[in-house]
Amino acid sequence: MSTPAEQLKTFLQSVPYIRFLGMTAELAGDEMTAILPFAPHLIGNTFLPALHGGVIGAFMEMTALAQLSVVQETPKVHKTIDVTIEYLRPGRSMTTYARATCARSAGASPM
Amino acid sequence: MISPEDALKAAAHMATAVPHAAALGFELVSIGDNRGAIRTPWREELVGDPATGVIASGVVTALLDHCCGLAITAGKREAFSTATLDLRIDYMRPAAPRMGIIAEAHCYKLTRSIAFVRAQAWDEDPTDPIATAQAAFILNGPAPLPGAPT
Repeated sequence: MSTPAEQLKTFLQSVPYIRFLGMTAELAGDEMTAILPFAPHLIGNTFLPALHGGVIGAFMEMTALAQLSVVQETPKVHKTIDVTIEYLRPGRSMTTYARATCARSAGASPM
Repeated sequence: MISPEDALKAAAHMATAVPHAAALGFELVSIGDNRGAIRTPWREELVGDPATGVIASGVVTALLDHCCGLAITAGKREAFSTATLDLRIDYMRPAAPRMGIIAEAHCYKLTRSIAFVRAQAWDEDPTDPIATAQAAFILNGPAPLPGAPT
């Protein structure tokens, strides 16, 4: 039985795409904060400059999967069925943070 | 006002040259008639599940979002920028292991400030999609919020 911190670390290290994005995460108690440092390859609009909308969506989705790895121990990477993203403003060229809450998870107690 | 040909050229350039599009290796498949299609080749560093070698769903998200932008640009006769307002993606199934993905988007309604777009992504057969998307975009970039730093 591994700890939530170990499960999170395993998840972050095992997914190549998370390394491609440059995403990390910190766990304080049971609250996880995902961190996406700004990098030139994440830009979608060079004039502003702003993060690519797809990067923001992907980062939030990966944050949800990372939160699941904290809540639920599983050897497999979970699969997304659907995501809905509402964009409020452009993502600026700075470090971006994300948090997720797990409302209901089959096979584990919800957080 | 630039010619429709030049506008299409600018759109095709945007499809592959934007830094994140270039980082994901996007290749232009087709453009025109309010539609656009882009392919992203499989690469080890884009994998989302190391057990299967399937490309990450986040890559599909970025591809669908970008492809929607391309379809909007394909329907306009001048260069302009877009920003995503909302994006919903339904994943039907994982992509085949070690396979690239193609997405095609159709901008089916364009107003002065908003574009409505549908898109789908597949690996081998367009009639067996990996994911579908429904999105709305604001044209010419979002207006700054009152009091927001410029």
